[in-house]
Amino acid sequence: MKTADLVQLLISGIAMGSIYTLMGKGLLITFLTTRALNFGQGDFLMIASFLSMTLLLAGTPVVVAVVVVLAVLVVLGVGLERLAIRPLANMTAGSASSLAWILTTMGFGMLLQNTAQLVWGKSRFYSPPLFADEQKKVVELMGARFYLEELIVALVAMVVVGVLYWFLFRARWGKEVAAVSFDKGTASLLGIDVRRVVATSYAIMAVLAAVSGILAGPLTTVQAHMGLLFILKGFAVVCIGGFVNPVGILIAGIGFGIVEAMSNYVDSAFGDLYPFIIALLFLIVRPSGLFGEFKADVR
Amino acid sequence: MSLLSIKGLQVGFGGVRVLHGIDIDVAAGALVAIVGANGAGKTTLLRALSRLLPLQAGSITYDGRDLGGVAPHHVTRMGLVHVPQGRQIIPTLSVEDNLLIGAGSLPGLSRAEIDARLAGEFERFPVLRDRRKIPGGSLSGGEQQMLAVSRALMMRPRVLMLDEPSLGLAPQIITGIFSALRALAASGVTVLLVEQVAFAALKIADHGYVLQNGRIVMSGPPADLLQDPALISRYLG
Amino acid sequence: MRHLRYLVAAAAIAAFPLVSPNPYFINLAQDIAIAAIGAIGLNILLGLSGQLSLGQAGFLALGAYGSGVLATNHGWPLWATLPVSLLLSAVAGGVLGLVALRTRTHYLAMVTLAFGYIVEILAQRWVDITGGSMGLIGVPQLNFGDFQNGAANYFWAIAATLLLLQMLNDYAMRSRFGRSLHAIKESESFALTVGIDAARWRSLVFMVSAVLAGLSGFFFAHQAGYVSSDAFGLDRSIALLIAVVIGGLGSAYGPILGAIILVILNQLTAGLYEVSYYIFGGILLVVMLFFPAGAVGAVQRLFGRRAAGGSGAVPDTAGAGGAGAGAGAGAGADTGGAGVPAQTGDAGGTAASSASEGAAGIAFTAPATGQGPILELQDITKSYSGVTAVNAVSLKVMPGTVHAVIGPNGAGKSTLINVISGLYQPDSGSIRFMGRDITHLAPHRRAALGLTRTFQNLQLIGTLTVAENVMLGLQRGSGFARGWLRWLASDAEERDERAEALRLLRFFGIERLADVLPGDLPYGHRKLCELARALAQRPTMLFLDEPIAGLNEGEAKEIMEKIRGLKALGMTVLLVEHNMSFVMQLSDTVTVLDYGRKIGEGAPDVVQRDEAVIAAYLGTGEA
Repeated sequence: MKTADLVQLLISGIAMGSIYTLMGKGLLITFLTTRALNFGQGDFLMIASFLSMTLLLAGTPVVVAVVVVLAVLVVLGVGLERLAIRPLANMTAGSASSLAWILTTMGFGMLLQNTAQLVWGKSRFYSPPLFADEQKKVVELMGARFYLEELIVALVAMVVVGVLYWFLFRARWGKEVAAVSFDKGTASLLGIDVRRVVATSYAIMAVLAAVSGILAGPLTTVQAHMGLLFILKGFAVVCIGGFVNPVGILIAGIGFGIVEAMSNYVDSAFGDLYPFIIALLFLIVRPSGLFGEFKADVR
Repeated sequence: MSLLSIKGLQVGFGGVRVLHGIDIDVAAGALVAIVGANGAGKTTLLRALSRLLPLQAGSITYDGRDLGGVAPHHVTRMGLVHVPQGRQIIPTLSVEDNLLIGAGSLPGLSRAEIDARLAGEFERFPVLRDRRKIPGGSLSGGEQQMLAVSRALMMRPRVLMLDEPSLGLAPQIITGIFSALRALAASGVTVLLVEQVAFAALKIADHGYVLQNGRIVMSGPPADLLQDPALISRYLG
Repeated sequence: MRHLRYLVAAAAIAAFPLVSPNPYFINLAQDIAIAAIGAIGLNILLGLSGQLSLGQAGFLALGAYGSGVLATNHGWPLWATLPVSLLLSAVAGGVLGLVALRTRTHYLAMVTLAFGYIVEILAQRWVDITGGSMGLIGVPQLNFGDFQNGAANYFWAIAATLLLLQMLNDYAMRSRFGRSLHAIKESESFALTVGIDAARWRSLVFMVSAVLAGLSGFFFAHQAGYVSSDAFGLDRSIALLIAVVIGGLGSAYGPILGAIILVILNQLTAGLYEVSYYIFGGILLVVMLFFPAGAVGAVQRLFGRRAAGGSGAVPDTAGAGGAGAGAGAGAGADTGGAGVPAQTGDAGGTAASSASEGAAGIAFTAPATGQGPILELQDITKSYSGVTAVNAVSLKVMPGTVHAVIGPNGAGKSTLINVISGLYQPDSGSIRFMGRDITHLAPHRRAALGLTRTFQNLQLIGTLTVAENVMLGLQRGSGFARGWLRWLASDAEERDERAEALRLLRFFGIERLADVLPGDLPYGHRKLCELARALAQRPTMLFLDEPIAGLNEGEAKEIMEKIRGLKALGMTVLLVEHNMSFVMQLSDTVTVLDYGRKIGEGAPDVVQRDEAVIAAYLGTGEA
């Protein structure tokens, strides 16, 4: 493989990997505050991709489109918490109570999938590029060639990751999340409005899914059932990265993306399965992930 | 006129009644000690006061206001601050962040005011200044207790409630904490000290209650309680 | 008559194709039976052992292709391909089951999701073998050479298999297997202490659910002569999940009910294909939020019945009239307890009757007297998170005595308890039980030796009745196959277990509560139930963790009487308690801990006057 191709593959891998990172972070955020994940987060991404695509094709300026998509998804995120997560906390222990949120968030996601199917149909769509004027615009830099779109996607995703990092570790909200994640009662005793923190975390998850969807649309095809792959990869990434550390998720995400790009190059028939298998093996060997702490499940 | 008035409080959970009708009055500026052995209901009492537990009967009146339907974070913001058992320091946050997090929930505090309060706490417990950037989880038990008290004081409580601050601490450290509480009460903060170590707690108190099996069984000036032989039998049968 | 319902079902199965108006309904019935087989497996997995799999379609595919490919492309006969199907699914289930050991809850859900996805992709792309989504064509159908009645014959084959599986399922749920799974699901650490090897059970159940899905796939493959990879996507796994949940998770007849609902729903919405995801997603949300007990639960609520254990909507025939059964069994058992009343008294359980009831067959292994200590701890030290919770603690519990461990909050009592029961490993020191070193013995093995504990927070299994909880303690009985055959013949085994459970409940005066769920009982009675369960384990030493916490005076007195009664029968009791008057009245020896060390030991009145002990509890007064 020529170096030029290698660089291009790397950029490709980093671009998609950074999107997986964003997905992983979305899963992490809600896990911190509610010990639950949005199993339909991939479907959130899908809605964002479709909305963004439709608005852009209709000629809406990018900034406006982004704002609209973010707004819609935040509503969905807050709605999900209200509808599929909060009511479960009050229910007495049933047979599946500790796993009920998996089923409710999955159900919510299915509603989104059907909506997309009805509005846009079941075919695959091509979303216009956000940053380059044409889909496959190639840039040459120091002898290496790569797609401009992918490069900028990677950069934008990194910026979002950075912003999230700032939110979590510097801003007040992040400290509140740490308190709520530690113990909700204690957080209340510190004057923290736990409900508000929880709702905000779901809104942030939705924002991350929205950004992922907006960025991912042009890089892949948009389809009503595209969400499954993204949730699987997002989850693989957050498991490998460890359920506590955003830096770990970043490393895991980029790594996953690069492995995926390489595997597809090497084996175009089954290459997309390799990263999953590697992730599965990794998890069997080291269930706590790269940086996580495995807490013994003593009930 | 008592600042905090508890009448006929009955609290339970999980099908078990823990408190069977508690009457307590706390005058403004007083240091009130509530002592009792394990299982007496001390922690349940404070959690009920902070509204973390529902009331099955009775009332809590704070500063003339009925706390019945108030959410826990509002109770804190109203000035009734609870330092929970076991300190509950946020382990992943630094000492400084732990201190700031409570004050940060109070509306209308300027940055300057917060910084001033922070400086004040570092004065009170210099060891916290030395370790201000260190994660809270790495502190020793005594340091964590100091941090927990300071964290509460950052919110300028009118009533400070502490659940067994002496738990797991060496005697000298306990002495230090208790002196600080005595000084605090002297400066006008009302203190509700819930403790197992009856002797030390009663010694610094203005008024004492003994809790046993969810009921107040003794009440009065600390000097009287300390001389009463029944006190020991309340603990050791 | 026992098993009447199975005979009725068999008759219905036999008659159905003969009365069915046209083959369409027979086909529908086949669909229902195929789905029900898979649902039974998933029901046991999720409803009983609490493990969620979102990838059952993967096992279905393995079963379908395993047989389909061999039969179509290589001409194997179906009696040979069936074992291959089952083997493939079993192996995959076993591997994934091992993964399940190390991952829990949502991790496992994701892993199974990924597994299902991978299998589907492989099926889609390995076109040479599987025919991909265009399909494997010409798959031989199972019609026993009779083309005319092929559909009926096939239906009978599937339905007969289903009936057999249902019978096995019913046995499993009503026996110690079902009870053990309930225990594992709700509290694994408790399950260990009743001798259940949780890890092994969980992987076994995983494999069983995989094999049942594979079997379902086998029948599916040979139904229509055609297999397409489109059939094994995530929606298939979700559909199965919906069937289980909507039918009634964890109940015996939930799967068949759910399968019927699912297939009917599919038929009704066939024209509404465009909104099928709305329907399924909506069902998931609505059921989880409003009807978590599913159709079975709704039916039970309608008829005011209790959901007792895994018995589902139909109460156990042996359960009819607890007192009657108890009396019958009591009279027939080897008790010689002439004074045992057939009717249960009230919870008063007076001290007078407890003595004779004690003689009425409460069996346990009383140790030979004159031996050394039953339990001996030497220099046990345990630290974690930088804190030394227990520091070089030694103590001896002598046979036939009541020995209490007390200490202020934070003294290390809970840590010590967990070290003794094996949930924690000490950093140094040793523990000997009946002279045997158990320091590194797993918790479920300690239980088998006669070291039985109760829990401060009452680990009663909420989905089992009081009697079933007590039977959990019994944990004896034959293996599955033999047990099932015996069950077919008579329910003597279960009846005997239940009789013993009732005897134990009678000792504590709560026999009349045998068929109530713990959640509906006042706290005091729940404590008694847990004591009965502990006693069911035939302990040599009873280890009680705060036995009277949360009880009022009257209830505490009752427990004290019962413990005195047990001691009179030769039982050794180690207990941890806060309530001093209880401890001081009941115990022979008291050990006092403070800051992880032993600071006093001796007879109660000695300890009460010990200055160090007073200082530990009330402080020294220096402040």
